[in-house]
Amino acid sequence: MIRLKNVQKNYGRFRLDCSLEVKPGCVTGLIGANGAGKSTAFKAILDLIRLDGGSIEVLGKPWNTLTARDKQKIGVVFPGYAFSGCLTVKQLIPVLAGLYEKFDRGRFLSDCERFGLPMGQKTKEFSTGMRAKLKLLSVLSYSPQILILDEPTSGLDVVARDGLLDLLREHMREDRAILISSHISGDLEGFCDDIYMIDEGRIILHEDTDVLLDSYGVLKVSDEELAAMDQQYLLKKKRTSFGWQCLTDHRQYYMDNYPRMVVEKGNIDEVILMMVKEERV
Amino acid sequence: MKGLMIKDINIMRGNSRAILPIMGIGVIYVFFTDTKISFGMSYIIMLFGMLALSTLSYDEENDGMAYLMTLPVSRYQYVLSKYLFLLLFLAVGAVASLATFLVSAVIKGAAAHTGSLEVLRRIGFLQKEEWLACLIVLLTMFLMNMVLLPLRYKFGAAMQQIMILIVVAAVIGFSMALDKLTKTLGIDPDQWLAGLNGLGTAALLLIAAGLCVVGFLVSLGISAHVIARKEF
Repeated sequence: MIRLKNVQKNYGRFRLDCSLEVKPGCVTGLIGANGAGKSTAFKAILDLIRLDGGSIEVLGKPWNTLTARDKQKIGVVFPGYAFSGCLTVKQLIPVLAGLYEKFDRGRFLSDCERFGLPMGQKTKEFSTGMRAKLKLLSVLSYSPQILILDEPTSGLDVVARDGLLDLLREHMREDRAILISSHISGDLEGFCDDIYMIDEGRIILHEDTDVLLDSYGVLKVSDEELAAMDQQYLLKKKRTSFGWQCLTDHRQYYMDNYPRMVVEKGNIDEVILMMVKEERV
Repeated sequence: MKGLMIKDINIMRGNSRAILPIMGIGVIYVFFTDTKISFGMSYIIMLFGMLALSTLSYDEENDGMAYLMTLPVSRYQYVLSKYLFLLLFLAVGAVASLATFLVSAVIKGAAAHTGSLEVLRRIGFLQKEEWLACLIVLLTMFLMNMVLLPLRYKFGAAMQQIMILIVVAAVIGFSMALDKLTKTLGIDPDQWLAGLNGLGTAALLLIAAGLCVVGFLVSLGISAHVIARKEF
């Protein structure tokens, strides 16, 4: 539903150069450190910036030919406020109804009530969490085919985050897709089907979440163990006070062949840290 | 596009606490002085023009423009909605100021036992010259907004105050240059104005409408071009 082919954008010393695909029925995560290029990639998909190279397809059409009718099928959440903070939720309803043909007033009202959003208060007086909820509920109110969510759960407490992720799960169908970025690895581990990792504008890893969680692992070894072991499945290594930490995508191989070795199950945070910061083997 | 217009109207409604006192001052001034209609109209039109332009600042707060560009409207439609909102708001301002003058004439006429017509005569309501001055002021205000909008889109909120100063300075500079030019060429501006006055009402309105339409279309075209090329 979204396909980026060698998309390039230069900002001085920063260069985005990435390819990725979001398939129908899939939730795809884009993770990376601040300034890695996540938001630039999102803006490229939405035709908010001019590309220096490459191409993008959205809903089967070139990204820069999308019509207003096509955009009815796309829901976007950005880290900023969205609509002006001077508006109340009540005032937002006719705005959304005027913009989106499929806007479901009843659903929006019941969702706002469920998540405790006051109707008559200006949204600039909302807490960060309330604003995050409002932005997500607004896009879900017109059931878009594609959701592009840049840090949608930022500022939410655990309970609210869980509730909103449940709403997103309910929203998902075979003909829909979500592209999401988040700095909370828990959101991505439990929610995404596949994950792209971006660093300095380049995709450095793409893996199904299940594979990432099942096959990736961190080995803790001494200098001697490292020298003696088979290093062909090591991706990155890091010097520590006790020796080395090594990232592998063949955890089971090392568990089977080096039974005395400390092998820990990988989680997304560790994979990010090792992939981005540490030296290649 | 309807949604964008509703957004701007609701933003204005949300700021009514700040707007109403400024309008109140204008209303009080009309009620307690015999100010000419051209002054009253220009006050309201200038105020309403500035208020309509201020909705752009609300669009831009917290990276809002990037979000607005993802809505199911084209960039051209976004710009067009802003121009239509400005027109609507200026029309509301003109009608509101006329209504204020008429109501004040009725009340003041009744209070002074002179009748409304006498008050209307004093404020220039029944004089063609006053309406001509009014038309020139309104036209200038409208065209100023048409110059400001593309500049505002191009240079953003940070430059707004400076741009207003530049445009006002340009208008004053143009007037002074025109004054000097007419003196050099030996043209009498009063005679020229009298000539304008001599034109029929329909011809004057037609000229004003023509200038407004041309100004509107050129300004809209430039703003649309600026927004089409802009990155968010």
